[in-house]
Formats: sequence, structure tokens, C-alpha cells
Amino acid sequence: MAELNVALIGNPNTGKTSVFNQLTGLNQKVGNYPGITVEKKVGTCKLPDGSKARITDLPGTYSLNVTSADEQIVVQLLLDSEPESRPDLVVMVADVENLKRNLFLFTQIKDLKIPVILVVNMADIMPRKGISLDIALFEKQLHTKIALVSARKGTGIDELKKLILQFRELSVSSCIKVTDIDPVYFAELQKAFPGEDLYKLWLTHTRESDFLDHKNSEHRLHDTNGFPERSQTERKKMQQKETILRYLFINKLLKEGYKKDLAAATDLRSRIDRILTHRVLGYVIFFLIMLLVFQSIYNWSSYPMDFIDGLFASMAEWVSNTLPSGSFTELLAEGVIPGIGGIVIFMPQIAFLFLFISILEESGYMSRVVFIMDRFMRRFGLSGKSVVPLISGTACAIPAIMATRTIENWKERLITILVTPFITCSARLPVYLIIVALVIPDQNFMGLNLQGLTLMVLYLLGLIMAIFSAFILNKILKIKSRSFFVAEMPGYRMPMVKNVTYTVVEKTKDFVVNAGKIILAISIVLWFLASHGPSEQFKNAEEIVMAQPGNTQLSEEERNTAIASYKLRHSYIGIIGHVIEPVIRPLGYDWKIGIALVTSFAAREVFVGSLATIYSVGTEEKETIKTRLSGEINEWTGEKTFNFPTGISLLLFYAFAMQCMSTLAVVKRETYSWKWPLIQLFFMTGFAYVTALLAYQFIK
Amino acid sequence: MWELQNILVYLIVLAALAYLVKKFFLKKKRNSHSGCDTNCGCH
Amino acid sequence: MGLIRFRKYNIIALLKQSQIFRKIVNENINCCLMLNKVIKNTIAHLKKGEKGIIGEYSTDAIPVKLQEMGCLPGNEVQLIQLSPFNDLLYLNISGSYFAIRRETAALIEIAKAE
Repeated sequence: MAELNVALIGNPNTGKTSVFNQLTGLNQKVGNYPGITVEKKVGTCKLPDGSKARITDLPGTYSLNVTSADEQIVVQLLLDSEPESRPDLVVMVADVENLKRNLFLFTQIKDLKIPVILVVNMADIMPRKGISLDIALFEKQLHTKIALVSARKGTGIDELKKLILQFRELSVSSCIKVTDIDPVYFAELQKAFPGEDLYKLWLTHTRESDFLDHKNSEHRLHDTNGFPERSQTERKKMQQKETILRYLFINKLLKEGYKKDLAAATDLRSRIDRILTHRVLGYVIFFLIMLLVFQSIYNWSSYPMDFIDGLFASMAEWVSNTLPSGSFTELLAEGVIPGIGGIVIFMPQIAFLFLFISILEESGYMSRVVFIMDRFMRRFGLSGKSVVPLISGTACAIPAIMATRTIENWKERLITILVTPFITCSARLPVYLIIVALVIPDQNFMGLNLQGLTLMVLYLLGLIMAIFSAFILNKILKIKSRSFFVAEMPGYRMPMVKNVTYTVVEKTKDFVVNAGKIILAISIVLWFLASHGPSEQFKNAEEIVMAQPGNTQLSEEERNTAIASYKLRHSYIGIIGHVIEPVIRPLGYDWKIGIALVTSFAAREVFVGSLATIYSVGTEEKETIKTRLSGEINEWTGEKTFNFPTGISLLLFYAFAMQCMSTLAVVKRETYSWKWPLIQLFFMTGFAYVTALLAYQFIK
Repeated sequence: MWELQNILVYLIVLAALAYLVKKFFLKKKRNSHSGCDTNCGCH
Repeated sequence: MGLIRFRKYNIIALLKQSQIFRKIVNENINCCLMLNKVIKNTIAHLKKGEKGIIGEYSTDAIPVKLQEMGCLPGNEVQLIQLSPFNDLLYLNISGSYFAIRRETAALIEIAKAE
């Protein structure tokens, strides 16, 4: 039997994700990192009879009338031209406090003639808020089955599973008559497209595309079959009529079967709102929260990071001492283990970042930030809603760019997409951490730690650059897009431990597994290139070094180092490195940094792993990454490779350069053309090169 | 022992290379395809 | 004084009869309101905490999404909070809470204030 295909739909902030987590547990997959950029969250749910259902968690949507890219995805799935990829069943999650608006979407889905189960979530608060619900009446009027669920308490989930199993018994009749909107229009529509479902036709004909690039969405009204299309004004009038019809139906139903004690509901909310959206206090609180988040990420994650770094160093040592010597052992000790170490070391801060971001979103605070920041952001051509992508951009630009889908205005959305990669993402953090530790003294300046201060400056630099380029783009881009802004202000909720934990575990796992695979593969290839060479010079390195006069008096250790560096210079990677060296020497980098730089165009976080691999090839003792780098000597200047000017130049380069293939892929997908990602790539990297060059030449 | 290790290394390096090629070159094709998917109008 | 007011009212009434001009009126409503407060009242003119009943508006200028959120003629609206710089209005329209920009709010009439 084929797996049951269930789509989970609902308004934002109804606890849809909690229901999804309850149904699927950790059997879910989200692709965010290198390569798989799937926006759909899919999980498997075991049904009472032992069979399995495949559950797709769709983005939150208010309506099937498409006005944002998120809604586009939902409608696309529901109207998929391939019948087998259309869901067998829709589970629609509604919040018991907001039933009116939630039912609006419900009646629309009903009109698609897909079986729907209505989940009324947060049922546990009903007695406290004085809410009562006549379920029998609702089921009869809505032609559906209702599951009263509390995702927070975990109640009602088994009943929901039972209902899913019996989905064939569900009625597919509509709640309203679509033709009532305008009988003449619909008769004409039916005549032009015989055999097609009227509501589906209506949906595709009234679709708005303000959130899309207009040039690429011109085909939306193709194929009119000689149908006399009405003007935009008339269509919008009809849409209003549709909305009114639906609400008439819903209001009547609610009046008969839904009671709510109003006095109990709104008090706490307005009291918290008064503080969090206060014109002064609001900003102070926002700033303090951000400060707390970043401070704790650095302070808390540095301990596990040091521990992981040491752990991998001793692991490499153990492997090379214990396993029989040979090239495979070398691969493990010099390629694989440092490579994996370079991934795992970021786990703590990724976890912390996602922990904070998911708490901010779950609690409802993010919407208040949108509310207080809109005015400020609009000055730079952004929307208040750009705050969410810009904040989550500190974790990773990929989910951040996907989060721009809620922005209704195409221009504001495009600018947000284009500037988000400037925000310091977690992949830059390890690069920053290691370079800052190498070149900035661990001293206090006016009571503040200099290293911490440098990090903060780097974050600010990213933010300033993002806002500054938004400002420029706003002036340059000539896009006419009607500007409107509707942001829901959800009620405050205690973040659910389960949801937060899942987000943190999922994202961290994603990062380690997906980004890790690439880093590991690159480390292996790099190691091979660094420990093999094409020429006779590489093969006979030992003799050549020994034959050099003056090398005979060296101690054994010094001799080994000399041989190793001679070999490295004549290895494949050494040859490639010397070819690119002229380009990067003005920035103060040697060819080894150059190699790491090139590999980090796959993803920034590869940098540390690459350096670790290149520098560990041929060395006897397995040290931590940090001590290894600090001991490096530049062969041209005789000074330390990672001195102050080079360090600053590297930091600036990483702050500005576009070095993430997956981000480029996502930008391409979200903007529907290669134009924007290519502009991003060249502009950001060019800018990075120039700033790094100027900085190095100036400080040197 | 030495030979065996060498063969193993070559296999692993080849596998890593194949993986990278698959990830970054074959991926792009699929991406441009899904770009059309997410665009509207394909109903 | 009385004459001026009367004449202004007449012009507006004439304009209202035509579909096209109605839009212009709506767009310039802010300016009209500055001239004469009697003519129209919009959501943008609510004071913090104040309630009103949504009146007619031009469906052209109002995003569909706003209607779906419950912003329909006849529904009650309350201004909960103004954002700093008074740019966003945080509203409660028949139980759904959301924020819109001032320029959008200025397009939605209030039929009668309570």
C-alpha cells in the first residue's frame, strides 16, 4: 500500500509545527544546508493500524489567495498537476482562540474538494479562557471531523491519528457556494474552461504577484481561452464579496456553537505589549536581548569549543601512534580527523544561536521587533519584516533568505535577500574566532576584553554593510511594487521545550551532516593533493634537502620539518598555491592561506578545516589547530604568517566576501534568475578584496 | 600492509572527489529545474 | 464660514459618485481631513485605545490579505498601540491582531466612532 500523503496546513502562530512535532517525533527531514534547499518539512507518522503516513508541514498561510511567496508554495502543492503528488488529505490546524480567521482558510480548502480534518489546537486553554465549542454542530456544518488537540500537553494526538486513518469517510462538500460570488462571471468561466473546477480556476485567475519579480511572472494570465477577463478592480471587488460570504458563514456558525468570555483574554497581552512596544523601552529591551544573545554565544560556546579542539588533536595523535604506519593512517590522522574536527567544533555555537532564535520566534517577541523596527528599516528600503531574516542571518543566510518569503513587497524582499549575506553568519564565526585569538592580544581595554570587542566590531561591520548596501540598492533599483504591509501580532506564548529542542537538534544535525560531508570530502582531497606531488623533486625530497649544504648539521627534528615543508611546496597543492599566490600576496596571505581561501568558496567554514589539513600534513606532533597556526612562519617575510596586518586583512575579507555556494543557490531559487546571485558574488567578493588590500597595505 | 593502505586511500579520495562533483555540478541542473517549479503559472 | 463648508461638501459628494474619482479622494483623504474634519474619519485618525466601526473603502487600494484578516465593512476596529514614530498601527479587528502602515490605514474609513 502506498504511504498516505498528508499535508499539514494552518495560519501562522497556530502551533502547527508543534502538532507536526507531536505527530512525527524526530522522524523529520528539513534540508537547509549545502545542496538540499528544500523548503518542505516532511516527516513520517505511524498510524494506529501500523501503516505510515507521510506528513508535509507547509509554510503558515492565512489564505489560498496568493499574496506572498509562502502562500504560493502552499497553493502550488494543493493544485499540483501531478495527482500523485497532491495530498490525499489535508490536516488543517486552527488555534481555538482565533477560530474565526482560521476557519476562513478552512472553508477555502474545503472548496478544493480535498478531504480535510480540522484540528483545534490549544484546547487545554479553553476552560481558562472561558471558551466552549459545540463540536457536533461544527462537524455537521463544516462537513468534517474535528480533533481537539493540545500539542503542548500532547493530548488528542491519538484521536487525530485515528481520524487520519479514516480519511476516506470524510465528506468533500463545500461550505459556501463559490458561484454565489458572481453567478454571471462564474458561468462565463465555466463556459471557457469546461470540465475544470470553478474554485481552482478562480484561484488561478485572481492570483496576485506583487511579491514576485514582475518580469518573470507575466505568464500568470496566459491561456485565457478567449475568456473575457474582467478588470483588476472588478476582480478585487469579487474577492471582497467572497471574503464577506465566507465570514458570513463563519460568523453564523460561531454565533451558534462558540462561546468566549472576552474579559479573561486580553489583559496580560496588552500589559506586555505596552512594555515591549514602548517607544523608548522597546528599543532598549531589544538591544539588551541581542546583547545577551551574542554575549552568551561567545562565553558559553568557547568552553565546549576548546574541549572539542583538544579532543580531536589527541584523537589524531592516538590514531597515528596506534595504527600501523602507512598512507591510510596518515589520511586518517592528517586529513579525516582534522577535517571532521573543523566541523564539530562549530556545533556549540550553532546550537546556541538556533536556541535563541527559536525562543524569540516561539514566544511571539519577533513580531514586536518587526513592529518597532519597520520605520527604521523602511528608510533603507527594507521592511520591518526584514528584521527576522537579518537576525536569523546570524545563524545562517540560507534559512534567513527563505524567511524573506513573508515580505509582501518584491522590492523590499529583493533588497533583503541581497543584503542578508553581509550579516555575520555562524560559518564566519569559527574563522573569526581563530584569527582573533591569533592576532588580537588577550588584554582588557577599559574593562572590556579586546578579543570580544573585536568580534563585536566585526558583527557591527556586517550589519552596517548590510544596511548601507540596502540604502544604495534602494536608490539604484527601479522596481515599482505596490507597498503594503500586514503583520500579524500573535499572542504571547511560553516557548515549548519540545519545539525549541527539535529546532536546535535538527539544525545542528543538519549542519554537521550536510555541511560536514562537504568539508570532509574537501579535507580528504586536500590531504591527497598536499601529500602527493607530480615531480621528481617531490619524490626525492629527502635526498635533495639532505644534499643541501648546511642542512647536514640540523637536528633530526629540524631536518624533518625542512623535508616536510620542501615536500609540501612541491606537492600538487603547493603548485596550485603558488600559481594563485600573486593574486593574494598583496593582501598579506601566503599560498597556504590562498588554498584555504579557495576551498572556502564552497562554504566559509571549510577554511579552518583546510588550514588544519594543510598544516598538519607531514608534521610529527598533533597539536590543536590554534597552536599549529600560531607557529607558522611566512616563507617570504620570515615573520609569523598570522601577524596583525594579515589577520585584519583576513577578517575583513571574510566579513564581506560572498563565499557560500548554497547561499547563491538559494538566492537563485528565490529570485528566479542567476542575475542576482552573480551580482552578489562579484560585488561582495570584489569589495572584500579591495578592503582587505587597503587594510593590509595601510597597516603593514 | 603498505599496499593495502595505498589502495584504500586511492578509493577514499576517489569517492570524495565523486561526491564533490555530484554535489556541485549535478546539483545545479536540478536546481534550475526546481526554479521553474517554484515559479507560478505551472498549474 | 458656513458657505465654504457647504461648498466643499458638495464637491466631495459629486466626486464620490464617480468610481474613478473616488479613488483619488481616498488617496488624498489625509489632505482632505486636514481641511475639514467633518468629512471623513479613517483608522489612521483613531486615538490609542479608541474603537470604531469599519465603513466602506475602495477594494482597489486595500490588499486582499487585510480583508481576509477581517478588515471588512461593519467590523469593529480598535487601535491597540502605535509604533514609535507613529508609523505602524497595531489593531484589533474583531479578534484578530495585526499591524498595518499608516498610509494603508488612512484608506479605511470609520463609519461611526463610539
